[in-house]
Amino acid sequence: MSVRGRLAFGFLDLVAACLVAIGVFRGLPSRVWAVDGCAAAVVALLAVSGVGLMLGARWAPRVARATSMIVFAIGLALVATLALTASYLAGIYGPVGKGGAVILTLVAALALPYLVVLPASQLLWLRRR
Amino acid sequence: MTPRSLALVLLAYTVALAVACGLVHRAVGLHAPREPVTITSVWRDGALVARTASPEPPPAAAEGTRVREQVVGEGAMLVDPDLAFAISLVPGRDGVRASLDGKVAYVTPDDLLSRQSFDHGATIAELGLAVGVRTSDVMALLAERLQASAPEVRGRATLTRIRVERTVEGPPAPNAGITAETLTPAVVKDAAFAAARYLARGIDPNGRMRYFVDAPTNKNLGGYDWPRHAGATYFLAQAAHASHEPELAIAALRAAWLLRDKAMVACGEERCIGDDSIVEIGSASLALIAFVEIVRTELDPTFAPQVAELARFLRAQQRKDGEMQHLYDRGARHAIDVQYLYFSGEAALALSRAHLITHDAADLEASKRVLAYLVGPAWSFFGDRYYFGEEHWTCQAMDDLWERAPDPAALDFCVRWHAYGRRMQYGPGDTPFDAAGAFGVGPLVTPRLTPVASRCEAGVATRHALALANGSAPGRSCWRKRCAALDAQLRSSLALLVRQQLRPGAAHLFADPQAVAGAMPGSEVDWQLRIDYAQHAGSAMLRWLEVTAARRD
Repeated sequence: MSVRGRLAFGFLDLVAACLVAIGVFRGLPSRVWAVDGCAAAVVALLAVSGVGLMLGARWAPRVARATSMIVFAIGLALVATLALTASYLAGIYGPVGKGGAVILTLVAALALPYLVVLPASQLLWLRRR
Repeated sequence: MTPRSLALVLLAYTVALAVACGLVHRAVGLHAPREPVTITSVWRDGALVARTASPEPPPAAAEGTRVREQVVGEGAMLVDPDLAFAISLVPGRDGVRASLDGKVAYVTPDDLLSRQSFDHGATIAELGLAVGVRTSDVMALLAERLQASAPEVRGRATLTRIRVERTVEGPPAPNAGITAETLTPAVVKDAAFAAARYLARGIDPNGRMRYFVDAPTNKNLGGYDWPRHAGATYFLAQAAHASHEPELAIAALRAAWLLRDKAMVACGEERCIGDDSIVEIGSASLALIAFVEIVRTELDPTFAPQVAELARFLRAQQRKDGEMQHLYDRGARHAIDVQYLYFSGEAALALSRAHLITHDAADLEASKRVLAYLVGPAWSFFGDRYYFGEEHWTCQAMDDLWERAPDPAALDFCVRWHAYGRRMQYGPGDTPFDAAGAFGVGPLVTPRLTPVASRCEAGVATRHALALANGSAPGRSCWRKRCAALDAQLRSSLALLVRQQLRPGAAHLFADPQAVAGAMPGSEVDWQLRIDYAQHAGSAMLRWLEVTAARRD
């Protein structure tokens, strides 16, 4: 495992943990246990994985791999939920409206880099070690 | 995981998701009903007295208004979770058909409108927002009609969303179908006077208004506040002057006397409006605007001293940088330097209007300074060109001051504010609602009408100032473009307000249609009527008529 790669992915995991924590616990206006629970798990996993990778701990690759798979699955589930919600609303209300579509797309775009692209890249990187 | 396996996973995911989205959209989207159904109801005094659904024959001769609701579409809907159920019905358009053990029952949009169930569903407390239908109402009605318990209906019945088209016997309301293209000054004048008459009918001999009314039951909902009382008084004075109707003049004066004789209290050296030990300046500002209108239109010139008193109070609340301090502690006899939405803009307009009566240069100067602060330091932050708020008084102050103290920066601010708002203005067919002319960013909340009205007030003011500015700078084609855009925006919004006014609206759902005739509802489906709804709409209409009649550009 290259030191540079380890430090880069460790740092990115910590950044993603912070962004998810801020986005969910500061950004969302109401508390829903399912969302909050998933977010808390993602934040904890990314934080542990990030710290482990940055410190070069022996357990870090295993934790990082498990974290990436879980976060990747949650990311895909989030995108699926948003897409299905948009489909449901479009079915009920007709065109969701320019504003609604923009909001849903922005939420998906905000989540994709941290919850889909990052864990997928990390899984590919971990495979090469 | 190899790149190939990851690519395969993502490909399979994308295909599965696309198929799932298509299936969901198709299942919940409306399609033609399997068999034509017409639900015939008889309503009397706002209550349902008889109902049948085809193939049953229509109800036998029951006394009341006969309404036919034809099912024109149906689609699947989720009953759990409750939020999904709540947002599964388009407000004012959709109802539910339930089948249980061979029995079929309907809950129509009229049933839900008469209970004011739409837009009172799932509450997002942090946003102060309720979306969707109140599902407990739907379940209670279905349970009653299916002779089962609500949990039984929820657990075992098959629920289908239905879209209905309503036909009411009798002539259509005078404002039905008005559009931006068919809107005329006569129609707007009629609507404005109807709104004023509604408010005037609700004023008791002491000058208090029917502040908040549930239209279907015609019951008072309680609450009261002086800023809205003062705003409504201002509109009544405007309408009395424009219509020359003695009833409106008497109503305006009663409301104004209450403000002067009961609500004006000592605030240090001056007098202000309020009941509590700490008062806000919005009441004083709007009372000042009302008193100026009463003096200016010669309804009662004896209000001139109170105009000067309230103007002095407001000036004493001003900071050195022009901003207003919004609270006053009457016990401690000092201003409290906090700011809330609207109050500074209201004060700017009030001081400008006061100057027309007092001719005190200090009032004009104070108004100019508030305005300069509002469009300058108060709206100076990263991204200030890409975001604007709800505040609609600043542009009225800018217009009011224009001929005495033009502020091009304020005019520019207002033009940009409206351009921003127009990006969110709905056109015909943009939503399932009757919302052409309203403002919003999504379909879940039925557009509120008061923001439409208050933006109209500001829009008329901006249009007027643009015309004045054009007069001093002829030949600038950008003015013509901006004016045309504002004109179209205003016509679309005013047409919506006229259409949605209760004239008497869906009269069969009201216990006393005449009592609420002329009122402005909160939205197409929110028929709880507060005095400021009629005030903002009526004031906007009257100013539009004035400005349109006086325009020569």
